[in-house]
Amino acid sequence: MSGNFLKFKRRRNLIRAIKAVMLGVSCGLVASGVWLILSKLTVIAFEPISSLYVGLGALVVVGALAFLLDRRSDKALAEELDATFDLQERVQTMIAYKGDEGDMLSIQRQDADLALSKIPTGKYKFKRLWVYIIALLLSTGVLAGGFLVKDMRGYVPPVEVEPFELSAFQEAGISNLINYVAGSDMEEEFKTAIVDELSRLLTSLREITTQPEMLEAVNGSMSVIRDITYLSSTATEVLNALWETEDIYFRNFAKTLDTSNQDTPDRADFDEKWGDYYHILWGDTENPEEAPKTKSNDSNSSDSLIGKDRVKLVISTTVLKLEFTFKSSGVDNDDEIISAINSLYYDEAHGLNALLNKIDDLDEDEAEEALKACFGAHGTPLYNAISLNKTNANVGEYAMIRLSALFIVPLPEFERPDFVKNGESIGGGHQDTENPNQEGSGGVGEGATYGSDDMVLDPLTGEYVSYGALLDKYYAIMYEKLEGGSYTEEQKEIIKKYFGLLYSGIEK
Amino acid sequence: MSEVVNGINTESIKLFSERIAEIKRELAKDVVGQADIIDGVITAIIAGGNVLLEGVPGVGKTRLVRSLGRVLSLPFSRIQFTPDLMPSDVTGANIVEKDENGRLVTKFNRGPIFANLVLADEINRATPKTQSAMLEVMQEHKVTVGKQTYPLNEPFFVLATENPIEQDGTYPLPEAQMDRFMFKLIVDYPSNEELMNIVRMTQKTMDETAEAVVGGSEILAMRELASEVPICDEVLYYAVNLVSNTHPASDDCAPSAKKYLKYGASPRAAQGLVTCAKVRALMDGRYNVSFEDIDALACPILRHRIKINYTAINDKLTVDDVIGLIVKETKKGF
Repeated sequence: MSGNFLKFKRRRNLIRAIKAVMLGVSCGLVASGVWLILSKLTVIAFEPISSLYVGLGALVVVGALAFLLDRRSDKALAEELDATFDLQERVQTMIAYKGDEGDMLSIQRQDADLALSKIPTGKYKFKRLWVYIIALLLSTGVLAGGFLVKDMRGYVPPVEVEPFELSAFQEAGISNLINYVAGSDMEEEFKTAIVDELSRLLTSLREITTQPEMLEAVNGSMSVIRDITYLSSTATEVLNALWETEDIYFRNFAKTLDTSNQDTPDRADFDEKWGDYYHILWGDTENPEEAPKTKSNDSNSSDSLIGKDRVKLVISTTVLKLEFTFKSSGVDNDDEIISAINSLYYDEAHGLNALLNKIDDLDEDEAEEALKACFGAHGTPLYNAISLNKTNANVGEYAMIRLSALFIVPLPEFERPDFVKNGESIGGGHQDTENPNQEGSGGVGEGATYGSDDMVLDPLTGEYVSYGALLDKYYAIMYEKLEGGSYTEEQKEIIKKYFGLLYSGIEK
Repeated sequence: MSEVVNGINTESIKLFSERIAEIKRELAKDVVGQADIIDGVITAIIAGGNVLLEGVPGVGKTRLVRSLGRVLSLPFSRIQFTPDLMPSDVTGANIVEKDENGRLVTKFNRGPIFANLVLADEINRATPKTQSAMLEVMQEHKVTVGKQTYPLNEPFFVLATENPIEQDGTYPLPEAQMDRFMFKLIVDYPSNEELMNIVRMTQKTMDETAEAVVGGSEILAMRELASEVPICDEVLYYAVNLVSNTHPASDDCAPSAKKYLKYGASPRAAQGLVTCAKVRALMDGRYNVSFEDIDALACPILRHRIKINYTAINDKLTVDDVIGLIVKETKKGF
């Protein structure tokens, strides 16, 4: 191989290496720069130092690839030399016949070699060097950009918070509510708790300036009031405990005390049911058709017993059960209703247990009188306990509803179990306690769905009005507030849509 | 006068160059200007091809050939073609004559074709039959009369002339026979300066004063030397591509060929191109064929082997113009 050709070949390889290095460095700088920029802009936690490794990796890979791919054959180099230096295909011919022998070929080789020797290897230039230089400069710029870009990883865009200011209407609403609760007949302990909570809420709402804070505060207070209401209105738990004993007399007793279908307890209704219960115990009823069947679970059936013997049997069985009846109810023994029930049984003067102890010494008439005395002594305490429980529930619920309406906040989950659906029959069939979800079993029920004419509590006035009228009233208030207030169009839409849902949910 | 250096070496190549220079110098004594024509003729002679010279009367075609004959010290003959010229007037014929014993014997009387350098003047004036006889001899380098074949001496060249303006009563050479000419050279009208020199020179003497510098054997040696000049595949492929690009029927032909040509060149064109390119390279002092050699020889080699169509005539393009376009288009791929 011609020595001069080899010189150009070496020169070519040197240029090839320089190109590869420049390309590799450019790519390395770009890769580093891009990695650095990404590490600052994205939430993916790239370590900035990793951009160095990325850059080095790109440099090596790209440089090696560029060097390998830029390889040229001797033939291609010969073509390039002939074209560049106008050698009239001398070098190409020399390379084409490099392995061949011949005098003319030998002379041709010498001629080509001579022609190459007259050309300094420095004249074989790095073509388009300026492109590589510009690439280097641009890639340096990218890397510089990577350093200059601000680290946005910790950046949290400011959240536009909707402002809140306690309106006079709302303040007055809470104040009125406080007064309402304070002036109600709710049990003192729970009343104070709710009043304190409402007062605390009012104080904090005067300071609060954003909508989210308001929602948190109101939701928190409603949850507290809900929990107080749960504690203060235990009637359902107590009556369910009686029902779950499966004792027919306890079940009748529970039904006697049940006021779940009344918005406020009715004394006359209680007295009537209390009287009926007396007759059930004694075993006689004025209207045998309506009297519940006395099918008992006890081995000694009291079906055919009346009077003293019946009373003796019933009291003796139920007093034993009373000890464990309320244990699983979750209600304390000092609860008003439980206390009244315990008093009914254990009162020394007129309790059922006391009657049991002396019933053998009494004749029928005396036993009847004693039972009447017992019922007479304990009817009012029982009614008061039930009534107070109901009042507690009503006041607590009202407080939550009112808050919900004042601040347009959804009510918290407030599921009170239903006790014994209407139409439950005691004697008709054994209660299937394994399927508590059967109609009338008294499990946790769903919330009420109101029809347009259903009477509901108006939180503003404390009166019961039809649901449809109440909805119209609130819609009017809402509309006035929206038009006069500084709500965005989107907020107005949401609120109007909410009322639309309420209207569409009415049972006709 | 001349020496032949055997073998291929620097001496023989140096001698080759010297001889070429001497030939040109001697010819310049008798022929003013026409350097390209002289180069073309010398190239064709060394390559072993025949030349067709086309030019108007009086431009020195015949003088050139005659001077060439003197310079190459080759037996020279001139055949003036006329319509009544018979084939036997060219090749010779058997005649009956008495020998020394008085017996009648048949003897072949050689025609003017039996020379090394033959000038076929105004070949297009001869009848096709006479042209065929001539061209057959050009191809085969032998004459067959009856059953006897008479080889011609080597080197053997025919330089034919054509007058492009007097077409009446002429018989244009058919394409197949035109193909036997290595080159077609156009002898142009001399420039004013050249004309002045011609007039000055011929005022002194009309005689040709060129002297012989090479002989036939040297021409053969030069031919052999030139044939050894290497050509790399790229240049060879270029030459072949150039010729095949002249065929308008081919799918791969040059666009200009498809547009302007009726038909293209034969494989002889490719052979002639490469052979003459080797000679040209060596004449140029190089030891390999280059693209430039092929380009320079494209017109002389191709102009008489292709035919332009009416589109070219309409576009006022000559054959050489079309060849130039084809060369340009072929170059794009190289």
